Formats: sequence, C-alpha cells, structure tokens
Amino acid sequence: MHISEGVVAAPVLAAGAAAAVAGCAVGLRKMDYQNTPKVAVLSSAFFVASLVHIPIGPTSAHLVLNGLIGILLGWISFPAVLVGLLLQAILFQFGGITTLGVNTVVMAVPAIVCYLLYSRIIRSRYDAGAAIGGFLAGATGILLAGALVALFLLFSGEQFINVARLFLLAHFPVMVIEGIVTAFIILFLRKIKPELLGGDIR
Amino acid sequence: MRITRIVLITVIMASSLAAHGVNIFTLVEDDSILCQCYYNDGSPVRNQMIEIFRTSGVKLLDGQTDDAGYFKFLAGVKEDLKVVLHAGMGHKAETVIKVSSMPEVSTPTAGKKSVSRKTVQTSPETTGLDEEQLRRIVKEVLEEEINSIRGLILQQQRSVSFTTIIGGVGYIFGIFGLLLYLRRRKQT
Repeated sequence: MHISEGVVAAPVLAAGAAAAVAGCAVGLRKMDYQNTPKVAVLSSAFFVASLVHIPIGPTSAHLVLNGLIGILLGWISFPAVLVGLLLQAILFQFGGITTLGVNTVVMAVPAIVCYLLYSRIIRSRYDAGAAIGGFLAGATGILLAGALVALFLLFSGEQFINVARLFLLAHFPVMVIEGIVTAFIILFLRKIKPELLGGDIR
Repeated sequence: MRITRIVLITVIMASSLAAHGVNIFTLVEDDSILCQCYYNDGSPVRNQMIEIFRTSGVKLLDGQTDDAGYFKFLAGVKEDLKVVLHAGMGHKAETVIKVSSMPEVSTPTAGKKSVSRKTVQTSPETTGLDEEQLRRIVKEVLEEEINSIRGLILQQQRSVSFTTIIGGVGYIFGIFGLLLYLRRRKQT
C-alpha cells in the first residue's frame, strides 16, 4: 500500500510532505516521557506488520495496523508512522524517500480518524463493544488508507474509480483480517494493560 | 550443434530499482528478452502492464505479464532499453537493459575476421578448435555459471532477512530513545 517513487507528481509529493510535517509537529507536541516508549513500540509494530504478506489474487497485501496505532496513539500516530516508513524505505525499499510524506499521510490520517471515531467505544465498559470498535478501527484504517492512495493516484492520471474498485476488491480480505487482529489486540490490552487504551490518550 | 543455441544466456539485474518490493529480472536470450516480474515475497506479478522504452524515451512496445509474471519480447534494436512495470495501486518498478548485455549476433562479420586472424597463430589440428573459439566457449560457460550464482545472490539480498527486521526495530528504539534523551536534557 506504499506509493512508489516516480508514480505521483511533484506538487502532490510536496503537499504530502507538508501535511506530514504539520502532522508530526502536532504529534511531537503531544509526546512526553510517559508515552514515548509506547510510541516506539507501536512504531516498531507498524514497521514489522508491513512484512507480513498475504497473497491476494494478482497482488499481495500486508497488515498495516494503522487503526490500532491510531487508537493507541491518537495524534502521535504521525511521528510513529513516519519513523516506521522511513526505515522501511531505507531497509526494504518499500515506498521511497521522496514519497515518505505522501505515504505518511496515507497511513496516519486514517489512524487519527479511527482514534476520533472509535476510541470512546473501545474504552467503554463492555468487552463486546470494545471488540466491535477494534474490528471497525482495523477495517476503517485500511479502507481510508486505500481511499487516500486512490486519491493521490488520481492526481497522477489513474482513474479514481478504477483504482478504488481494484483496491477495495484486493483489500477486502485484508480489512477483515486487520479488523480481527485489531479487535484481539484491543481485548488483550483491556485485560492486561487497560491504561494503554485510556489515561494518557489526549 | 544444438548446444550452441542455448549458450548465450545473460542475466542482468544491475540497475534494477526495487519499489515497494516489485522487482524485474531481465534475461537476454539470443535476440529475445525475457522479463520476470516478482513482488518482494516472491509471488509473480500477474497480468500487469509492462512498457519498454528506447534510449530516446520513445515507447518501443507494451504488453501484459502472463500468469507466471513473465513477459517476453523481441528487441529488434541494439540500444539501452528501459523496462517499466506498472503493478497497479502505486506499485512501479523499472530497470535498464544495457546494450552491452545483448548478444553480438547482429555483427557476425567482425567476429569472423578476428577468428581467421587468430587461426594463423595457433595449431588447430591438435584440438580441432582454435584458441579463439576455445576462449569463447570457456567464457560463455563461465558467464552462465557466474550469472546463475549472481542471480541467487541478488535474490537473497532482495528477500527481507530477519536480521534486517530486528535491525530496523533497533533503529526505531534508538531514534525514540535519542528523542527522549534530547528532551530530558532540554528540560533540566
């Protein structure tokens, strides 16, 4: 789901980079001593998740975990995602340095949307509610990231509807898997470390 | 002899740019060029658009990869060719086939001349092969062997290794650790 180098036009890259810098600035302001280790752990989780490949039809997709990152980090998703993507670009040539901004936006904006939409239901008293919230967060993270990829590609000539439809078809199973994984992680965290879900999220 | 038909096989990977783990391996066989397209996990890039550009930037031809991720075409021209693979949804990879890697089948006159010159210096009746021919055969066989090994090494380099993953996680902790350290210093 990373956009490669040379696919999108320079103005789009610049806009993406600017948005990523702004998002990181907000995120870094919200990051303090208490939550920095948590950010580091989730950033690494994000970094590794992209290496879990699931072959689907003509392409292959991988876990993203941006819904989970959004729920746990809120605005700090931006720096966490940026660092993860930077290392993926350097070590594995996923995405690229010039597309770092665009890719950060693709991953982090859905994370924040998930945070705004579902963090309340995930913190509710009922496990079932939290599980549903977790599932929806995982699925929404992928869905919105796909929509953003399609949007960025729209500016570089590809037809939005075509790309979006292809993406939805290819990523529907990923959305389901990601939703289930996120729901389980949320339930697990509620049991062993509930303060990760509430408390220091602002 | 049929063996001579299969001798000239060159694997070139050289300047292949991997982008989001989409790779193109090109294989020059006589006058046709075979492109093998893979994702990072080794699965083939099926039914995706592939374009071939000439040095001047003009498109030579385009087509689709088959079910095995292969695309074969006849070059027809002797110059550097750029192969661009569009794997969809922002996946793209490109590689350049250097003219030097193409076999010298189209220039038979030059080859013959040097062979005839060399025969004067050697004694062909002992082996039935003159030095130049022998040298060429050995070189071709060696090249084939080396190329298969080179392909293996490149493939191994490309596949994501466990150590790199652990290294990446280490870097992430390092970056955040540094951030924490700098912030703490600023505050005190």
